[in-house]
Amino acid sequence: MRECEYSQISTRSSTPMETPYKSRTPKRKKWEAFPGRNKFYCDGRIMMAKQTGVFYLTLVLILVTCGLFFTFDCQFLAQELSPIIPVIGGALFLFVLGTLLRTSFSDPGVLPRATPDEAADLERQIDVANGSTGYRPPPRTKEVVINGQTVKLKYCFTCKIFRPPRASHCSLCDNCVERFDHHCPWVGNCVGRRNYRFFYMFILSLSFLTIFIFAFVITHIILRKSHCMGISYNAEYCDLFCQCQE
Amino acid sequence: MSSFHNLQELRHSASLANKVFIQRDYSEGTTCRFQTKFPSELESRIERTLFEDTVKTLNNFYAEAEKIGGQSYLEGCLACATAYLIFLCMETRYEKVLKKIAKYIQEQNEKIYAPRGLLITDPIERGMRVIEISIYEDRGSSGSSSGSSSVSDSTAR
Repeated sequence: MRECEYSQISTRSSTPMETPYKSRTPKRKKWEAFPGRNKFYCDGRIMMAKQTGVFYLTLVLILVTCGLFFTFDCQFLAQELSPIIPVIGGALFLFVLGTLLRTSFSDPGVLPRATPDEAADLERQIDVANGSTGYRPPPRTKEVVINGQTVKLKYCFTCKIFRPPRASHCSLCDNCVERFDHHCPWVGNCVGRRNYRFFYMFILSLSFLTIFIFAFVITHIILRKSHCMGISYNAEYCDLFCQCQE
Repeated sequence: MSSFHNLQELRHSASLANKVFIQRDYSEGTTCRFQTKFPSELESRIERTLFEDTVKTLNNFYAEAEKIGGQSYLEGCLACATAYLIFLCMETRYEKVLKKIAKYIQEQNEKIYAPRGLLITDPIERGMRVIEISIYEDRGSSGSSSGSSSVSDSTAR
């Protein structure tokens, strides 16, 4: 972790009596005052990372592939094999889209940064322990015993907290995230405790959708070819895209 | 509603003196638990048993919220099957317990902590890392903590 410029926390803030009419001024919503590098939409209901270009690419890829499948393959397959194929395909497609949007738009489990009071309290404790006149930044790690095992909790200089176990700081979003897995550019968000289930289901259902589309496209091609072979058996050229007369 | 006036008047007539932070207790695993050790700053402000009761009740609430059993299993399966759309209609068990906790904390603040010049902040506001207890000094008093509880009572009225 890089060494940061550390300055002591000032807890000087306005006391309640100095601003007696503070409640009259419109309150800023939490997302408006959010210190991280996230983007918010729909009055704070949607939370995404700063860079969302790749997410739009993911959307385009899924929509175009499925769109082509439904346009060109489904009619033939519904007639030849079973009408349930487009239904299953449609359900899978909607599921994939739903889980993708849930992953991208939900809060991954961002830990709120320490209030100035809390950070100052931590510094005071460290100063008492060190007994030093000057102030130095809190130590990098704090040891904690979990179920008999000693675990080191790391200190986050940006958020000014000791991170709980399995939490990590995302440098792209500039937040500490609980049970941080990774920052996924394809999904346009961090994957952490709160959206891991959506991400996992997205990956799983996308795999099924891919295999489904691939299998039925191959089936379509094979069936068309066999039709051509069957009908125009004597033809010199068997074009894969020939018009099959029933 | 008179008890609510206590909290408002507390904020307006008192000034923030100090904040105590109750840390997480990881000794029994990573489930949410807070330390029940009585902090020294509160020694003159509140009885030890009241404080420990509050923290123990909160710990029980969190344990109930995170409990893995039949109901949570069914809820999870139902949610997975409906692609989590079911949560547009109903609340998760965890959210229900969080609401109970918020109500409990407000009730504790009104009945026990505000009359003693203290205020508990819901740990969810701090990312479930600490329970923040704000200690208020009454502006009228010269900062002597022994008489503060009686002084704050009179100002609250």
